[in-house]
Amino acid sequence: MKAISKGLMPTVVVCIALIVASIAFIVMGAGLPLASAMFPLAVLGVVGVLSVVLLVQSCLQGRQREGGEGHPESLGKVVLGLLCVLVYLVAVARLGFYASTFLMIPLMSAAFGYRRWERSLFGSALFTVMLYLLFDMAMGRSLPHGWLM
Amino acid sequence: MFEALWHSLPDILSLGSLLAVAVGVVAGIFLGALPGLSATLGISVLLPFTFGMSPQVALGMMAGIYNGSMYGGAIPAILLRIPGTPAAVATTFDGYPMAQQGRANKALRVALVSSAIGGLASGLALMLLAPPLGSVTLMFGPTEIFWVSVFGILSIALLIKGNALKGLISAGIGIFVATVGIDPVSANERFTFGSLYLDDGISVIVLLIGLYAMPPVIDTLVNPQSGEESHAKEVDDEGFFKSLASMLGYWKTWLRASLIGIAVGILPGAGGSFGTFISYNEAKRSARNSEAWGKGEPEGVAAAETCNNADTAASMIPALTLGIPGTSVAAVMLGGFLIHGLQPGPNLFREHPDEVFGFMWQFLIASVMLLFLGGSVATRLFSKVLHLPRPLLGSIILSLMVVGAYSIHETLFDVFLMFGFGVFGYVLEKLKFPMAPIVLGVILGGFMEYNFRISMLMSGNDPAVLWSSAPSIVLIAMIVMLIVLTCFKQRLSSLIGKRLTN
Repeated sequence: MKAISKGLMPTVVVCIALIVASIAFIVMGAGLPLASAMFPLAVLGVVGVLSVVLLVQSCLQGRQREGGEGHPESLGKVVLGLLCVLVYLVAVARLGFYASTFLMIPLMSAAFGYRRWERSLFGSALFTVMLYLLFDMAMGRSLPHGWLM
Repeated sequence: MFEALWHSLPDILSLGSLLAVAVGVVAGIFLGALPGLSATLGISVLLPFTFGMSPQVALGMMAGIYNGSMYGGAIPAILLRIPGTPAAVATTFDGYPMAQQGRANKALRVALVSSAIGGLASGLALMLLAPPLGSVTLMFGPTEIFWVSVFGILSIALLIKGNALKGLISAGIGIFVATVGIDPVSANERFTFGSLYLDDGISVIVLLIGLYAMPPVIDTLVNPQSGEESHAKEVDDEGFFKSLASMLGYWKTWLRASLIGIAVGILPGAGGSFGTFISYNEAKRSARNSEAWGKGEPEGVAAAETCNNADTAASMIPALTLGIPGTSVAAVMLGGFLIHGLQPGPNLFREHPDEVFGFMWQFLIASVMLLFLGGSVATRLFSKVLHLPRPLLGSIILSLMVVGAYSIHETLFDVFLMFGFGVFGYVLEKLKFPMAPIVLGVILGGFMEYNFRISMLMSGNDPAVLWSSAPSIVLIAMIVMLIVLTCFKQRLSSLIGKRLTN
């Protein structure tokens, strides 16, 4: 068997994660009454077996073209993007939706290369006010409120 | 059946319904025009905004978004050679050269009229073909519905482009997600980790927003090149009616492309971009001036754009009657039907005739509106949106995603769940796992399990009930054929691959 190359690694990791998750959920569902457990456990079993087959298939094929290629963006930038999203969501929970959205739009734009502050601040304020008018005022649906707003 | 079609018309002509279709068309053009965004993302992000609306108004908005986004994809394809949607790739072949020659307006108008014609043909096909198919499926009981669900999920998982194994795993993940929450038959809690938030199961909208909106948002943020590098020359200003008169000669192309689009739309898993290539090639093959194609031939734009709009309503034919969507957008639309209490499948036409037939009218109306809104308002206005900096755009969409996920149950739990599905979806998408089978698994998984268990309960747990009726046997035979066909296809492509490498 060929060595697991860099391009193959993500598929291998995902297959292993799916196998582990399938086993964990099967163990969790084993305590349920048979009628309720039968269908989800059968599905989990199939997902687990197919993940094993995909894992073996990927290893046998060696370097997999579709796994590691075709997306030029760097892992660091993607992780930064996801972290920014997570920080924003935590801010929504703590500060409130409107305040964190007003801050997030210019800050995230700047973090990813758009640093025309006056434009992004103006756009952010306009967009946040529009959302407020639409949801809180017109539709009467409240978005998350927090320390600031 | 067709009486119900007329009966539903007055509601559709109400101001609220027409306004919803118009808003949907404009929003669809806007989303389709932004490279990397799509009708799928648009519908999944905007669905929660329809909660307070009546089902008919919400369906009208979805029909508008679907039609609008298919045309919207042509705007950056023509002006920037960046297809706004995958289905608009073939539009770039002649659309962009036309823009470079200073004929961008002409190309946009051809795209607009062709999109409207394709949409009209598709809407008519939905009206004519869905009701008879719906009346056949009314004969189905729980066992047949179970097999239809199995066939639907398998057809999307196996026929979708790429690795069939990954499609099956995606479908399995979706079906499993559908089982989270309180078991609908015996009321036991399943995989809820004791959380009350999960008792009602996982909302398909949360899943849709995470899976479909997060990957393009991350890509938009990390690839910040803007669309400012338009090489299109100053656009021409030929009048609309003058352009229309010169387009009448394309009738054969419109007819052929419409038929191809409808056929491709009905086939599960075939998808819009596949059809536009066939349509473009067929039109080019039968053209007298085929050497001019690819260098700015307006008929090339017509062939591509008619086809990508002709598969919109057509993809809803198997979706509405059998619960099997022809495209991933149709899968998301099924989610929209579900959240408004309309279960796609055999009983839809019997239980909600006004909504489903009204939806067919709305597809037709959306195509007509596209002609007016796309021409006079949206094209001029939204082609400017292409210049919006991508990080700013990504941030705005992110906040809309939060609004969408939060609006469902007004809980932040759903927002973080959406983020979790988004990360999961991003990883799976980069590894070429298809997303549509996950969505379809969530939509049909619960339905499949429920009908399976009802069949077993009715038969006293005798498994023979699963193959005791003629429709069940036909459906089982179709599933076997599907699997055999997929194995054959995969074997053939691996043999061809080996031949090519040797």
